Amino acid sequence: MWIRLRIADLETIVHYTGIFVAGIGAVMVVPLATAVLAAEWAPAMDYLLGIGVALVVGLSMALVRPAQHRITHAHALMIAAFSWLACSLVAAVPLAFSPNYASYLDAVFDALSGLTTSGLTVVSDLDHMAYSHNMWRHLTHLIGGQGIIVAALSLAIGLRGGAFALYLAEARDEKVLPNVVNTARFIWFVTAVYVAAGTAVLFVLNLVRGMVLSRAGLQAFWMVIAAYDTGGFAPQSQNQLYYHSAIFEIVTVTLMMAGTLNFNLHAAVWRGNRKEIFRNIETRTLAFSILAISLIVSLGLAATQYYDAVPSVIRKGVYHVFSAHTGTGHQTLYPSQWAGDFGQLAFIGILLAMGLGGGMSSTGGGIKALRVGLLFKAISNNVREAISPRSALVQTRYHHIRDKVLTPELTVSVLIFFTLFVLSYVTGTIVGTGYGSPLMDAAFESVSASANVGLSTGITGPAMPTGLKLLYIVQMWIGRLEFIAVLALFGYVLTALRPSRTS
Amino acid sequence: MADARDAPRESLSQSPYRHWLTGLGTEVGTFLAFGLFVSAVAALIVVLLQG
Repeated sequence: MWIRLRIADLETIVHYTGIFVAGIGAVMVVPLATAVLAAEWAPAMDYLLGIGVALVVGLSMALVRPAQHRITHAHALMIAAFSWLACSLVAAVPLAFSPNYASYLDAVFDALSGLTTSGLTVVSDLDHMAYSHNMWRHLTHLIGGQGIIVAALSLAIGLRGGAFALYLAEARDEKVLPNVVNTARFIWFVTAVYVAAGTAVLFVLNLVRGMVLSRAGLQAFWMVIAAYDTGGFAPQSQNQLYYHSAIFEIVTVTLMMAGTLNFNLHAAVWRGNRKEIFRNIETRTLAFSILAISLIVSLGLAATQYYDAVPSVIRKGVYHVFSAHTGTGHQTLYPSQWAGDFGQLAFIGILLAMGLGGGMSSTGGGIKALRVGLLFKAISNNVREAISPRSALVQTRYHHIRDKVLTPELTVSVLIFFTLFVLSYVTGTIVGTGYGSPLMDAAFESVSASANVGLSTGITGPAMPTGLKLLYIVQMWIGRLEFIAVLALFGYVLTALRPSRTS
Repeated sequence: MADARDAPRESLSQSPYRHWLTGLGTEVGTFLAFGLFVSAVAALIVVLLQG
């Protein structure tokens, strides 16, 4: 039975969502400063307007004072679902004034794609986009990758009772530190270290390759954010291909792997427990899966006409396996090359890598390596039970930060998430095919959206039908929050619309 | 649940994370080694297939 929300519940949801929306307005100061420094006066006005809208809307919502400050689990789910959507609608405001977006819907598509670290884009003429708009697009990866709620928690702004419930509602599984505020701050600490180190390396590479100072710095920062946050945006329309650099690809793949690593695992390794990275079920599953899919892709590419040489197999095949599996979506191919030149076997390998996804409690998307590992453990457990005497107690253990036992409840939870992701992939494929896309292209785009990857066969673009834009927006949103928060929102809305039974 | 702002704080500098630099080195080294290993296996497969 669904519980009908009361006015007091709605006040709580509106109040906290308003805080996050106002926070988005505060971060818009960065692209505003970029616009002023680059003398981009029209975009500067766009960001002044965006900040105004975000603050007026956000603070008006935050002024709704909840009768009680305690956030229940139900509140947290609704706040997470609602605030991710509301923040995307507000983040889109300055982009909508850019000549690079044909409509407000297109701007919302990119804002939500950025916040969910998907990387699918409907931008036009990206190569001539203002620095400030590019800064904002990439900053959405940084905000969304770590989590809108995590960002607010790390500053402890306006969040009272229920901080942990909010943290979990944003598709996180457990705290890294005993206190949720410090957990959020640790997530930002890891991010700052990787972003600073990565930016320094790519900045030098860009300078060596002849870029001017400002462009070298900005492009390095943007590509690092997009790789570490497993986002996939890039400041150039050719994406990673623009740089034509093996070293650039090695650096970004390293960042993608760091981004897709569970923050609990980062914490264990950074506490001095270096063996954890080799013992953890999640890293073992991820390593095995990346290796196996790389073999599939290599076999597929070896049989093609264009990518059968060893350097091509590595830079087009293995590179995209990492990009897809970590949920990043950076690509060194033109979209049209996936269906044609890449070969069907390699194409299926990339599709599989996207669907399986990266680490739990990371910036990655998809089903997640921990769940895949546990699913195989559960299958093994069932087989062992089947061949054991009836009186035998079969117990399966796994190692994730500490030794744990695979319980029936955990197995059911894994199966539910697995089913929800597969349902989302299939639904998107069916609708995409209905809009006239070839089956495999529609499947690729659907999995890419739901798993927040961003690789594209070319279906996604400004000329895409409005229905498909809305479909991928929902898939990216629902996939980022791992279904439960958004499904809870739909459930409560439907319950509210149904006439109440009176006795 | 206590107020998030009132919770006891564990400073990073105090810190169980004083090993962060070696942790970072371990992670980056592992990622690079793994990437190299996967690339070498992929290259070997292609060479064997075409050889």
